[in-house]
Amino acid sequence: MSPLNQIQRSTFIRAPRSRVWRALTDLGEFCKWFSAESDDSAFQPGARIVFRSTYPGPYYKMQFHVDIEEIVPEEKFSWRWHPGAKDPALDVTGEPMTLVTFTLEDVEGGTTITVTETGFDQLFEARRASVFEQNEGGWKHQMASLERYFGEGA
Amino acid sequence: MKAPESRVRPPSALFAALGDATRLRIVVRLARGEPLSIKQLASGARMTRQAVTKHLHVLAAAGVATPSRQGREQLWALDRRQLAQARLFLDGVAQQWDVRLARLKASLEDPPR
Repeated sequence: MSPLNQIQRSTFIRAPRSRVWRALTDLGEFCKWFSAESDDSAFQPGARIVFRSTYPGPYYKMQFHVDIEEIVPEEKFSWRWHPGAKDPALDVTGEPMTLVTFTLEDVEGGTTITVTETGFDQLFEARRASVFEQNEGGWKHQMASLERYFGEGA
Repeated sequence: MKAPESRVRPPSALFAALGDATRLRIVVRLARGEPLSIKQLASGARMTRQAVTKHLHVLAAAGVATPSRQGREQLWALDRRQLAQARLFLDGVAQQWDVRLARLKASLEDPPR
């Protein structure tokens, strides 16, 4: 997996793993921190859960859904979805989805939660941005991480 | 702070082009500055010229590499705008996750009373 094709983020939470797991996988608790609401009742493997965003701003009440892949108690929770914001004028129904995986790990004094999102290379051509800006700062940062990835032998 | 649901779109052909370790190596070499010939790229990467040519054409189709001619030799250089665009997209998605994880952390460490 190339570093340009995935996103990984981690954070330490001062709470037991079982507590973090509940906040992550109890649909009611999930909605609170994810800033969303749902008429569905529970996350289940194979289920499609439909949400509306409750985050204030232009996407308030915007609908999105996640297709649950795996639920391994207190270890792993994953879903597929269409990443980023959806342009209401754009039909994303037929597009490949990215895979979002949460994993939990015990650490001293709490829990580390890691989210990994993969599959950006699969995304449909229709969503290619037509406009972009030059970003030298971002570019330099990217090159530095590429150099680290491949080391001196690159 | 930017709204986490910012309007971001994935440059998908670009990610497909870069989703290959060999092509990324070519990108890294071109990123060091001078345009390079297929021969130079092949010798540095210990690849055949045919293989390098094939990868360069994938990169060109995604707008990452562009050919130019210097005398009788074709040289290849990077077009950095597409890569900057990919970075912007991934940064946007990553930022959304940072915001969400921060909210999860806050909800568990400082629960509302």
